[in-house]
Amino acid sequence: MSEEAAVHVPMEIEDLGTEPITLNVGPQHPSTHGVFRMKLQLQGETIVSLEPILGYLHRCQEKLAEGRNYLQSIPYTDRLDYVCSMTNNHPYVMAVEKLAGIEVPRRAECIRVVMDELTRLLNHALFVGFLLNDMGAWLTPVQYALREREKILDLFEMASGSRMMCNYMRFGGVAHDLPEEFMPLLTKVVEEFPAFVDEYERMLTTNEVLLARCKNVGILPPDRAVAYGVTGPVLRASTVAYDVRKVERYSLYGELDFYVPVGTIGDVYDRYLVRVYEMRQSVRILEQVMKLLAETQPGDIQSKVPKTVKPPAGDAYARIESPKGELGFYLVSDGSEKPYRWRVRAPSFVNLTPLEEMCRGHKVADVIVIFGSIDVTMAEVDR
Amino acid sequence: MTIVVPRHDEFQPFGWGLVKGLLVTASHLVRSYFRRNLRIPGKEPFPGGRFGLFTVKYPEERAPLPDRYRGLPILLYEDSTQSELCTACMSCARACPVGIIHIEQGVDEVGKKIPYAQGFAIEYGTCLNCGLCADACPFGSIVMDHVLETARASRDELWMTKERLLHPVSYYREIAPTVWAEIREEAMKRLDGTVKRRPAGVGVVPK
Repeated sequence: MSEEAAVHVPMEIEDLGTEPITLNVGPQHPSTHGVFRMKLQLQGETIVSLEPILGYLHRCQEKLAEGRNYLQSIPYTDRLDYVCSMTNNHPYVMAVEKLAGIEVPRRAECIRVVMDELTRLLNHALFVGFLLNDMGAWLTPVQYALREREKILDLFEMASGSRMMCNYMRFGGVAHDLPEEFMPLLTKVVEEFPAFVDEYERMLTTNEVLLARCKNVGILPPDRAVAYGVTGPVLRASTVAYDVRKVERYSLYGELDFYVPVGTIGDVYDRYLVRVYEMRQSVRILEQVMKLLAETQPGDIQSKVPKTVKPPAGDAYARIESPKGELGFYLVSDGSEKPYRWRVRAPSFVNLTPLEEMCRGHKVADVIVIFGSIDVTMAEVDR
Repeated sequence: MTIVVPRHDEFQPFGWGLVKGLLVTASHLVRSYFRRNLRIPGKEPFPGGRFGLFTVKYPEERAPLPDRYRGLPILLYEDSTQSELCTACMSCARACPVGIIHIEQGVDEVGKKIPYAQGFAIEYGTCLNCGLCADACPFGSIVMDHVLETARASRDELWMTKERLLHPVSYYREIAPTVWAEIREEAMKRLDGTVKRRPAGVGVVPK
């Protein structure tokens, strides 16, 4: 704990001679997205310290994957961050492709990018809804988000067979080609989405309650954000323009034209705005990828891959920009059909670490908003 | 290639922000009575193609599921000859991430293995609905059902044996025509080969 981060406690409270009290939020609490416990030390209503307690959702996923072959682990990646299962599949198959030296056909890459960006749209729409939920706008904004999400989930269901546990990507491609009725519906979603974002912004962005609850709350300075290893929209809200899509240029992102939205001071309001702008950029990406997809040969979605993938001994790390941040898979192979080590770099977990620093000095009600603004899925934090 | 998001710092709402939000919700209140609801193009969305707000009265009427939908795995048999497509090759059992598919290979009188599953069981309670078994099956025998009501009265009933898993091909053709069209040719060709290698009367589902 550094000197300048010392807590400002109003004089009057100190004069009263109150003692700090301990308050438990969670593990079962409506505003903790998943099962998460926060141990708060309060002086009056001001946070003195916050201790996050994790592990209530631990499922040994990394160890489970070591007992399975490479293909059998794909359904397990769906269950890391169950809101965006498509972007969980992607870095895992990329890591195995890197390890085994598998080429991916261009159409499969296009489909993967389409799925990634659709996932980003639904995740960010849902994030904004749940952030407002945490502020007390009980369920109205979330209903708007769920309505849009439903259209995207219909697309996922059509292509992969499941709404949430998609299990769609395979080594060297994707599981199935897009069905006939997919493209017209995708076009419709992409055309209608900007109107939805406009409506959402009209409803929320200049709402007085939102401004009062978000502005200058939970500021994360850029140097601290980088020191904590925070990635994704939380880092970009803290003015650091770091996007794995731009840095790594994986898949097709090198040839796509899009901007990286960044914030100005890194408070909750910036995190909200960055996500809203990212939705607009995702729509732009989708429009471009749909053109690229139309140029490719239907059916060319899978390169030749042996039934049981046996990568040569070695290790590989692949990362993508998932809606929550940098999601990476580190795999170590010993040459057998099962991985020797299967490690996930989960953005939710890393982004959760500066929670105490963001909350210190704020009121109890702000903790919920700040926690909501990081956008974590506890299933990914605990794995 | 970055854009800085505008923070509306100069904006002095004086209640206008709230009013704008309320106008949005109010407009939806009106529009919801006239909006057309479409789900999957090419398929009739709901009986009558209704407008505005309505409820799908679930057990009686259902929203259509896409062909690719992954429910729980089932086994298929051919309608006319009643012969099972499964040859007990163990591909699905090996592909299953949770190891819930149990197969017992059939043998003839002299103890020689024949392409026929004497026993076949799937533990439905532990199924991930991942569809890797259906992808792995080279005979088109194991496919994903479209049933949504999977509750059972007791745990024992979740142990699905062959009798309850077997469905006719015509059933699957009806619920998933495009998926069946993809696997049909290969499956029927391989079934012919399988039937030749089986002793007469083995692998035939009793009527």
